[in-house]
Amino acid sequence: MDSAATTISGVVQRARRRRLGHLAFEDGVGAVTIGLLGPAALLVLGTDLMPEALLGLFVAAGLAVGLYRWVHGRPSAYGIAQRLDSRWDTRDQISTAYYFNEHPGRAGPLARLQLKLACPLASVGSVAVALPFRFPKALYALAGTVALIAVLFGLRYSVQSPLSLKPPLPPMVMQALLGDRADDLLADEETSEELAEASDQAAASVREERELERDSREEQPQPMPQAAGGDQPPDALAEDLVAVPEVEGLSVDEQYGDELATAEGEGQEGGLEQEGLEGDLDKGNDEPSAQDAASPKGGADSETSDDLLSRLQDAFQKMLSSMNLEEQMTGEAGDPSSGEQSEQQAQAGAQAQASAGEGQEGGESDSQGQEGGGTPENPQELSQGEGGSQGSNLTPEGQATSSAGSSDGSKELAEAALDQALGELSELYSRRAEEMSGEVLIETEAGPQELQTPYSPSEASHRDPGGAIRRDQIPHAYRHFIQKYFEALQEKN
Amino acid sequence: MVETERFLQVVTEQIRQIRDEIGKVIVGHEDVVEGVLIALVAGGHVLLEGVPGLGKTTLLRTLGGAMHLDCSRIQFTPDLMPADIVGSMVLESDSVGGKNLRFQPGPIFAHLVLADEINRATPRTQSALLEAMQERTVTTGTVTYPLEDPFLVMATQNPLEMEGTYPLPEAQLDRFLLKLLVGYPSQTEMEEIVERTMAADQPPVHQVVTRDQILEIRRGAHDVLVAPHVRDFAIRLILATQPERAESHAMAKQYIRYGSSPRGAQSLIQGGRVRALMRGRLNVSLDDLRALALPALRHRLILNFDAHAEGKTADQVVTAILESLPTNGV
Repeated sequence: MDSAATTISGVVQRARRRRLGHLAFEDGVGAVTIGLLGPAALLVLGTDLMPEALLGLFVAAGLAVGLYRWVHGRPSAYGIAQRLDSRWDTRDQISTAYYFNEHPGRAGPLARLQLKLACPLASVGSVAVALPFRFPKALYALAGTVALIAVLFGLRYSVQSPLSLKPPLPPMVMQALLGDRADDLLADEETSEELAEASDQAAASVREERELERDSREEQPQPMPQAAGGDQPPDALAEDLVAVPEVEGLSVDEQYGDELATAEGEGQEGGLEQEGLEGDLDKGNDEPSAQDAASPKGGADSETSDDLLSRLQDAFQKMLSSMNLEEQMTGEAGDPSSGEQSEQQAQAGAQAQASAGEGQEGGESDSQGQEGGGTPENPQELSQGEGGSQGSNLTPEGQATSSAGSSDGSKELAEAALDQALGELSELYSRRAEEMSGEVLIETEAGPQELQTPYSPSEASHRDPGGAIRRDQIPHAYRHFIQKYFEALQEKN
Repeated sequence: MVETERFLQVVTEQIRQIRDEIGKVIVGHEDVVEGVLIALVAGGHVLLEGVPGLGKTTLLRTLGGAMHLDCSRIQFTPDLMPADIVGSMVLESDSVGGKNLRFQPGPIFAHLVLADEINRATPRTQSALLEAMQERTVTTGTVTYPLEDPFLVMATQNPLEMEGTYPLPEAQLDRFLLKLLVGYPSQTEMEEIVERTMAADQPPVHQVVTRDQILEIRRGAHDVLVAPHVRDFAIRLILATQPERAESHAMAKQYIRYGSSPRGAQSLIQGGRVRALMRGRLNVSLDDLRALALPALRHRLILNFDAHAEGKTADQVVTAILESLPTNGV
């Protein structure tokens, strides 16, 4: 019996030693890999950036990791016995015999007999077969690290004939690969930084210039657009409109961006005829303004601000020309010199101008204006070339209610007023409804009551393609029957 | 005798003889026969489920004949009363004209009890077996009568989908050591069955094991060694079936409403001991537990509605758990 116990224990211990050796090899490979990361880092950074003493840190870290893994990964002898049982297919006889041999206090009366039965199985088994050597995956990492070190070493040696670990590798490699271009690249970098600073300064100066312009415009008196009898020429009116004070929090671009976009859209819609007009308008704006002349700085920024102003002027001049054209048309249809109508138009025109439909009408009037007036050189000529009074022409509001030809504006006004009145009424009703309380008596005819909503029968079986039932639709009380139904259905299938 | 090498040889030889005698009558169903023998030796009870006509009753009669044990058969019907099973008090007249009440034992007082179609009786009658199965006693009135060992209840039931059946209460299901599924025989087995049926004389069943020998085997099986890692495997298997536990299997969480009770672990270990002994080993192996996992656990798992709706069975769930359950040290 003692020989059986010795045999079992001997086999298990032998297998355990073998397994420990495998684990030591695996963990040692991992530790060496970690330790070799130090020389690799030294080859990259050089002793200037990484002192040699840090190599010891890498080695110590590798040893610590390897030791930790080995200590915590060590299998017990009982575990090794179970592994032998699993590999030898001995139905846990060796592990059971080993365990109860090691713990005789827990063994039953059959323990010694069981140990004797397990002994032949342990003696014939091969430990090498049960615990074969497996190529550890850490070897791949080690091979990669060694290859990396070799590459770094070769690189450093090829770059630097007398091998020195002092300087870091990347600048040396750059120097070797690019030569004088490396210095040029560095110089280019400095130049680009200077250019960036200069552009920042230019942008700041342009910003200051814009602010000065804005202040100067605000200081000038702003004549109000008059409905009738205004003697102001259209180009002066355009200047005034351009000088509309900026809304808080919005730039000039944001304020008039939509209008510019509309003007551009009109230009596209207008086609070839529109292009001619725009070209004429551009001609008028090509002349340098006094502000442009007074501006001390030239360059791209001043050109940008000029361009913006010119685009704004274009937009307003185009708008004015379209208004003049419409005025001309309405003057032909009705009496344009009616003073009362002009006043009413002056009051309602501001609202009509704000409506969205005006843009489309403007597009039409642009084309009409070009047909009637030819190609005037500036908007003033365009307006003077048409019939009608100058005052009504200058008033943009006058076009809305001047005659029956533009009655759409009055309709919209009437509808808007009606909507406003209805809104007030509905608001009033809703306030009254909140406070209203009382009883309602509904009289119905005597007789059999019928459900007005037709009862819709829903018949479907689960075999039908459309028949489906969700689980949450099943009441709890019916789940048992539904379950039986599904089971019967599965059996049939 | 237990500590001698001859003990193991005797046990394996006796079990082989019993199986041979049963094999004279029962064709195929080796796993069912082995399960019944495991339950008999381990001191448990067995539930056989299958359609009628597969030889369940014949198996019990043959087993009783091979071991020369008292057999009784109870046909469960919906109107069967508990007194029809455990017995009742009868009024007797003595020679002098006096009247006395005497306990008339019911069919439960036998070594092997075949509860045929147990799920046709009402739950009240089914519950009459509870005390006998667990405590090995029968109580009528205020008197408790012990049942003689070995005591094996071999219940048969038709599949629950059939009409007129009452599902067994979970408490009673848990008292069966194993639940064995009796399937249809194969074509070769069917031919053998037909051949034997056409023969004029049926082969006689001889008594090969006495009641005392059965009890001795039972005591020997109780001493079969169970290593800690095998015991832990059984426990982890049971815990994996309990959905409320963190270590339970994902399939158990999805499909099991109530997992196995600790009786499941006891069944695994007890059955594993007998199975190991029947194979000439004195230790329980992980393979024994894996082989007994389905019969020991399939009736202890209560599946939820999702499992029924998706057609999942307890066998599928236990198999999935077994496949994913790791073993220690390996």
